[in-house]
Amino acid sequence: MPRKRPFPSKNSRVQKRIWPQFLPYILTTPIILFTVVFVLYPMFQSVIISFYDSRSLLPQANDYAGLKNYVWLFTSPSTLITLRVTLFYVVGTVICSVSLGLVAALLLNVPYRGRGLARAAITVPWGTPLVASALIWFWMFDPQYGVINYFLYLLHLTPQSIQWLITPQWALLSVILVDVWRIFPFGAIVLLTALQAVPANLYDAAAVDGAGSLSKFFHVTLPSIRPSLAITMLLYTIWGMKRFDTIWVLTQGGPLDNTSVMAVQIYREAFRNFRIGRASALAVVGTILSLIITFFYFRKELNHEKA
Amino acid sequence: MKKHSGKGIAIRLYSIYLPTLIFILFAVFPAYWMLVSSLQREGNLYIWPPRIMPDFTQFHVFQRLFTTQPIALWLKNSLIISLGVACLSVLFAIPAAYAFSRFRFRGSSVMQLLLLLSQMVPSTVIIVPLFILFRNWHLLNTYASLILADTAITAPITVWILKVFFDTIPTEIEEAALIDGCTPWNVLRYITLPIAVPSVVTGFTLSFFEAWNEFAYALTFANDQQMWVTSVGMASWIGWLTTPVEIMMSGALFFAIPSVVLFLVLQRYLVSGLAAGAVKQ
Amino acid sequence: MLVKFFKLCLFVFVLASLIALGTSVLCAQNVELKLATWHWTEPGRGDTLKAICEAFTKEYPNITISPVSLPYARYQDQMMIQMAGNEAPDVLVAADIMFFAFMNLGYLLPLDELINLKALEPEFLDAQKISQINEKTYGLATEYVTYALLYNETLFKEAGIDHPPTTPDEFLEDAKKLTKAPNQYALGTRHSMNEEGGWWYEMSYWVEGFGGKWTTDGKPSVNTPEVINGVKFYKEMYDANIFPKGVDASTYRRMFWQGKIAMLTDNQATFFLALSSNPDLNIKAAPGPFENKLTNAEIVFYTIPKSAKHQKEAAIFLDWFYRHLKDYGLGVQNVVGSKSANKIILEKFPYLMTFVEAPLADNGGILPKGYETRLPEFRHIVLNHVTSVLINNADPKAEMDAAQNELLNLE
Repeated sequence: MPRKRPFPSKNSRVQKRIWPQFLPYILTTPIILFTVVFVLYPMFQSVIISFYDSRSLLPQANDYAGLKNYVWLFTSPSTLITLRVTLFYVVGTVICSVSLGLVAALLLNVPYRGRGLARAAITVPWGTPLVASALIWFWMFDPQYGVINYFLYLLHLTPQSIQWLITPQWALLSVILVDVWRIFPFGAIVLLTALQAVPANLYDAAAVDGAGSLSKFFHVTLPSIRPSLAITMLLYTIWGMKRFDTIWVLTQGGPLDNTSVMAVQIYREAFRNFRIGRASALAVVGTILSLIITFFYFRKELNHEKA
Repeated sequence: MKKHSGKGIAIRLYSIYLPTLIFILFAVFPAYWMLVSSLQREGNLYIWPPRIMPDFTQFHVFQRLFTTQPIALWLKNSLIISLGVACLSVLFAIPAAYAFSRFRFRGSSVMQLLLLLSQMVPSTVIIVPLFILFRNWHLLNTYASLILADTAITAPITVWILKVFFDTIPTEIEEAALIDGCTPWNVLRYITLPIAVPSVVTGFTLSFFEAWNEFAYALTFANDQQMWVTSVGMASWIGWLTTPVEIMMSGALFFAIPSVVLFLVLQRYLVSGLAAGAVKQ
Repeated sequence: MLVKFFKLCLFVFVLASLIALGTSVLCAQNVELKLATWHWTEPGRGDTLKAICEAFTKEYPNITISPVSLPYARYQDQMMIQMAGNEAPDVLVAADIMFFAFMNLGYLLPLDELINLKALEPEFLDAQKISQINEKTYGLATEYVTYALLYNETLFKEAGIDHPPTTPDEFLEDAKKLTKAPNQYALGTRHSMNEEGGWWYEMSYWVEGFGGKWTTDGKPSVNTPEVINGVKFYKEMYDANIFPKGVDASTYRRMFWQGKIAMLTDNQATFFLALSSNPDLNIKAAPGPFENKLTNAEIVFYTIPKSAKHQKEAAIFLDWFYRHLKDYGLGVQNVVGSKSANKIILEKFPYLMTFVEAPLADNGGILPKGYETRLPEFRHIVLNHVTSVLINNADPKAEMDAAQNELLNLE
């Protein structure tokens, strides 16, 4: 027989002794267990490995090396290059993908016939297999026969063909372009969902107050989708720190390590230089950096929720 | 919203249709270029100026693709795994997101952080421990290993998407229903979830796409040729000496179709007018 | 509706798990050998290998071979993971770098006890001696492909050149005549870090041609005058625009057999691939355009991992395989240098003597003696500095001195 159970009100999220106190734990345990078994425990093992130095992918007890890998990490000049490249890459991809995703979501939010097709078209970069995408961009970037240089030539924009992927200054930009192309649909879809949930009456109220389109955007739309926007930016950032495949196919870390982001360095240390300990140490440092970024996000969001 | 006066139509054209077209071109052009590259005569591949149009007399490339490669097998494996991952992610994510959004309980922040932490881990360094794990559980070369490993990556994302969405749903409706004597389970089932359909669809789609594209785990845990997914199959075309470009590109186009079609079907569920209406009541 | 969806999801998951667990239960009565190689998906080679395995099973009915097929690009990574994870195949095909890495890690079984190597000796390739460390043999070198200058005779005639170049200067002269960008180029070569592995073969080829050695007496020697001359010459080629830039090996090999590129410094497998892709092609092979006629090689070893489950049967297979290689034409294309295969090929393509005659450089040329396991690091450092020379017009001597320094300080 259902009893009367007042639900926690919007203003006070304090849970009165209504549900069995362990209900939320029941709800969250499956996924936490999952994450612990298949991601966090292996990560923990990898952290242990970072204190060993071995040429095999699985160190033995006598390979123990204490902090040697971390010392190498903090004194090697390649680390600085990796950090600099990763920073540029992550900032570049996040800003571009979020902007493109937001604009795409706004455009796809407007009702018109054929909108479904337009939305599906936007997901093409995402649905196309990764290896093939990288290869076709590689081909489009070709200095002799590539279509990008061809179009630039038709528009008389460049005196001679640009060697996109083998010139240090262009390589990183090219790689960012390819990854932005691949990942902006994710942001577009997430932000589209968020836009759809903005109640129409908010817009009506703003119109009554005399607000124009731009004002509506800044005072109604943006605040309403703020949480989704924030989570999209956060996810793009932490994913950016570990993105590997397109860069490897296009430049393998690039001319003179100019596209050698952290994930590429990790792969190279683990599978080319046969130093899994160093790779794990680098991964640990990368994860800590991501955590720091996440803390900033959490604090900002928590502050915002209190307001 | 915009009024459709004469001037309004022009504004609409330039501020909506034209930019949308540009976006679509940006998104689709490389796929078009794949078509152009796969349908060319041998001698027209490496010339200047490059050919812009595909050569439709070369359609036999697709025939070659289907007769020489086990396309159907790879497609079947990919579909089973991706659908499995999407279903499982959503299954795990909905209760968790609901809990994080509606309840305040000890460990909530820590758990959310753990889920986010799982996104920060590069797969390169956990692939060996995972391999050993699946080997010990005798799950190598099974669908289960990939579904489990991929879900561990996609479910947390889904949780976050859903949680953020749940947070925007006002609780008054739920409170009202509970006061009226509804059980919490029914609240979830008949009130909250129907409103949350768009984000559930989003989460489902995201998980599907992630699993569809996934390569490293698929290669490592299921490298038996009967278990190859499309991404691994395509990688096998990159040979020691040369890569058959036309096979690669035609294969890529073919493998892009299922995911785009899936999204075409699901995207209508992204509409949510319910939230606005429900609150007014 | 959503509840139905939920139930469907749950059902699908349970069903899938059951199917998955069910199919993982397999009982093997006989011995099933796992043969790991990237050759299974290679056109032509894959079928030949299958035929060999079937013929083997006819002779030894209780041993079947099951393929472990992996894409070439990730083959080494996957083998390392499988070895670390104790899922080693029974027969492992290893290319040069991987072979040394595994050998030094102690992953491979010495074959001396298991196979009668003395009986196989007459068929041994020159490259076989590389697999012998401390009097123990760790693999059977079943094929090696060597490098030479491949050239298109038709294009040469059109440009008025009647014989392939024999010196670097002649090479450059000819190359300039043969380049009619953008539709025809004189050369196709790897030249950038996104093809680091392949570039190393070609860079080594040129440097050896100038008399340089990557290591001498086990120590790096990348800043000797000979090596620097090799790098300088590579820079000259780069600046002369005689090859298409930014184009990868897969593409320029295809351009070669389309008749758009006149010369390649490549191996004989490419030679045969070009011929089979375009039978009308009029191509020949010549020794490299240097004084020093050394060549380098890509070597393939068949090995048995220590943790293989069926070592004896694997050894039986290896022995049989090695003795029957030439019967299946595998010998013809790739095992140039083995005494019996020579006769067959050379009857058909006499100019291929160049592949046979060219003496093999130390360790196959690409593996610096003393740094075999550390080749990827070695190569990365050297090629990074060469890239500096090519792209930033840096001074070759300064760059190679810096490379030498870095190599000496390698931890």
